[in-house]
Amino acid sequence: MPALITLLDVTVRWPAEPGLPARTALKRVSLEVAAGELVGVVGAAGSGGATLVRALNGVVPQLIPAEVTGRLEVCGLDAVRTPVAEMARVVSLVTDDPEAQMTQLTVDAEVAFGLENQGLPLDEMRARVAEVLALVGLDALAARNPLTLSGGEQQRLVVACAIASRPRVLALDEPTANLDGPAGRRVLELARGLASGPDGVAVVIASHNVDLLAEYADRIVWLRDGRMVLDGDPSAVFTAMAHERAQERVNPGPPAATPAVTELCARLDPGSQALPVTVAGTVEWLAGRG
Amino acid sequence: MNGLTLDAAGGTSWLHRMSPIPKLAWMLAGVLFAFATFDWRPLLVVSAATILVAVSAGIGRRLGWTLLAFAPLAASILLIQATATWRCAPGCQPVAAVGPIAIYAEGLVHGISLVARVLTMEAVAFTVLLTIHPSDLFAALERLQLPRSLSLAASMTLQLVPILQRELRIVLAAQRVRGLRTYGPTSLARGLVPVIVASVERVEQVAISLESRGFGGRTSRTSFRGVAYTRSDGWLAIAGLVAGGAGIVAGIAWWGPVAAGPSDVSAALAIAIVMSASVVFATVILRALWLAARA
Amino acid sequence: MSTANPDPALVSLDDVTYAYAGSASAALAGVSLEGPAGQVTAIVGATGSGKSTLGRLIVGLLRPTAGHVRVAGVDPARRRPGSDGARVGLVFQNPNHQLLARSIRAELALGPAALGWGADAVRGRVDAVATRLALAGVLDAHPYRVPVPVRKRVAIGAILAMCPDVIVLDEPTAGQDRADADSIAALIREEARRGAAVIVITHDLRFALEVAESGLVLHEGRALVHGPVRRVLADQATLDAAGLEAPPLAALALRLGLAVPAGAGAIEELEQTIRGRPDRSGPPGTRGRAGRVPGDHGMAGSGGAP
Repeated sequence: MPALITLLDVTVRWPAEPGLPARTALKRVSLEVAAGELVGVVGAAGSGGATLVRALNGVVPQLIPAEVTGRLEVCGLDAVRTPVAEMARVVSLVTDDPEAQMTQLTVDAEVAFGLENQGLPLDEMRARVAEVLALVGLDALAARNPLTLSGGEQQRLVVACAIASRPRVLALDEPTANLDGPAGRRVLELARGLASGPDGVAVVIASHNVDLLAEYADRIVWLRDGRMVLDGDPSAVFTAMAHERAQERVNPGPPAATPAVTELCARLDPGSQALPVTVAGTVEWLAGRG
Repeated sequence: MNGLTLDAAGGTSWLHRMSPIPKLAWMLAGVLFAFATFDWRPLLVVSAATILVAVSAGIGRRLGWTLLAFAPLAASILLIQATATWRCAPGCQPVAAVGPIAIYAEGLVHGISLVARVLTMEAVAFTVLLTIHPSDLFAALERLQLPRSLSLAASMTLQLVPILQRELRIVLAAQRVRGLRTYGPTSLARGLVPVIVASVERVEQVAISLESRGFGGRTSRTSFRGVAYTRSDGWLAIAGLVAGGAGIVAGIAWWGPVAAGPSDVSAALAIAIVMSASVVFATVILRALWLAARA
Repeated sequence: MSTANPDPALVSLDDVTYAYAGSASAALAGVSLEGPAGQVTAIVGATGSGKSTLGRLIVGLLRPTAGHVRVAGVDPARRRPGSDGARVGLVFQNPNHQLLARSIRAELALGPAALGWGADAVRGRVDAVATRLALAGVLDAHPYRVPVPVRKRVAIGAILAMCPDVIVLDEPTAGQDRADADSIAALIREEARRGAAVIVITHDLRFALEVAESGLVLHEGRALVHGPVRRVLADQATLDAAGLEAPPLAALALRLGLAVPAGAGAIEELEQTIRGRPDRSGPPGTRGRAGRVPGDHGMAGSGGAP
């Protein structure tokens, strides 16, 4: 399957600000994401995940000024130079504060906003709004003011807005940061459904919630101080991470979050290269060890 | 959640269902008429007719409460005008006196006409605004060829107000927990710092969100809130505009300031009006003092 | 634990009900809670369960519609700042709501100064807190110019600077990465050791199991269960009723029919349980005793899709 997202030697540098020196957010990162893949980006705070996600639709560097070198292509478009509003045809971005992404007075108008910008005819717009609101379970709240929704409902609304335009790429930054367990799971389930569904959306999620990513991601990209440490299937990456934690931080830099079950298994089997990352997987793994 | 969040203007009456464009035209007509007319009699007739329309649309009670909020303003206009001498020709006589305070018929009639103008404008404006969903209002403005960014800015401002109110409440609570004073200008100024920072950050975030969702792209936009607008709505809107023009002409030509002297107003009526205005005014002042003392 | 503690609870709620003005249903209904000195109590529940309302009642920002809230025997809503009696602090979820001063130094000094302490005492307190929270290097920076995790530490430091007897933290781990959450957990435990009654309001059950001794599970304004954290947060039926999910380690223990581990050494504890060695005499929290680790895990930047 051809890659929808291609990063080749991408470096992002924040300019110096008064009191703050110039800082590199991403260092020579290369990455490909194909249609239908769900990729989790993990690492300690400030390791570059949020920047990576915001570069996919050009918000970095076009709206958040930065110096970008390397090649960053999304659906054949140069994300560094194609205007953000044009990138919106193929990429949808969801960030962690749902309230800051709301501009309309009703839930249905909020979902329709992106479709209006694409010039969709009214009939098709109505059908799509109804369809995605039903998908995220907000159809009963269509006429409500978005500000009166709960945190979980707001986050689902933002996801509904993001998928209404049928993007090829969905980029999410900390979509579960303010949600309780089941509400966070629901957002990941939605993302998983889009990736595995007929449209085969490429989904990139930067998150500290490694336990959820371990369950739903096809691949994990591990960043530290803007550099890619590892890119592979969740078991390989989290196993390496868990062993590193057990080694008392041999490598410099803050530790990344690791699924607790993987950390546990790393202590039980320090030699394994492929440890389980989910609760169900661990139960099986332990049974296999006898 | 919070008082200022606009709930959908609920209702299915004939007035709610009507297209917002002719309603806005008639609102304009009413406001222009009230601007041009000084005679309180036709103004009261128009106000009464508007209130009847509001009652028939099921919003009589809401309109009543809204108008009541302006009672203190009306009372103070009446009091100031009735007791001031500047409306009289030099040497004019008061129509009545309450203790040391003289009441002048000229001022009283002028005050009544000012109150009638304010009443008419409010009745017309609120009857229309209470029956249009804010989203439809902005969609209508867009339909009338106002730039989309303008109506978007307006709707976002409407949303920002309750958010900032909530933020300020939380910030003041945070100060109270730390034993900091939460009244007086210094603490309010201190409380505004985080609120301003929050609103600046929010505006930046919203700007990013708007462009990320394709706003400002090359494609010509369509509108989700299709505003109903038929040929008869068009005629109705034109009729409203014509009525507004006629109102201006009539107001200037026939319904200018009413000349009134002490012989036109009975002393008892003048005292009754001024006393009721004083009661309204005093009630408001006492209530404010009571609230301040309790806080 | 609580039975060994002879002190009466520093924080106590007795059958507390609270309804917001204009709201038909109560945000909290008949909730009782004990938060003893020297203990961390976790209040957990899904969004909208009434957790934050409970926190505001404890610090006296709200007064119960019915029932009593007592902090060291006094109604916190009647307490005057700077007066004698227990001091109460609330750390808000969003640090921006708390930050008012032009420098982190001034921010940390605001609370102690409002308590009427002398200039020297305030300065000493600010320095002590800054050292403890690793803020000494940024004391002159503007609170809004430092990254969000540091802002969070400033907000916590501004409360700790007042030496509160009761500390309420609202969602302390929201938006924090694991390392930051771990350092906040360590701070909370230190405060409890100092003798403070700490109340942690959170939907992060992993964090609750890590820091707290006892827990209260709320659902739609009602207390489902209140007791030792290992018991109340490890009961699948309770969690289901509250609309919560057991964190992975607890879920694993439940699936295996083992005791749910808690505290800072939860992973080590479960490891020992699984190995079938009930010996927990070793110092908790020691990492790297898992034996030899092979040197190479293919760590070097091996990119590329599988």
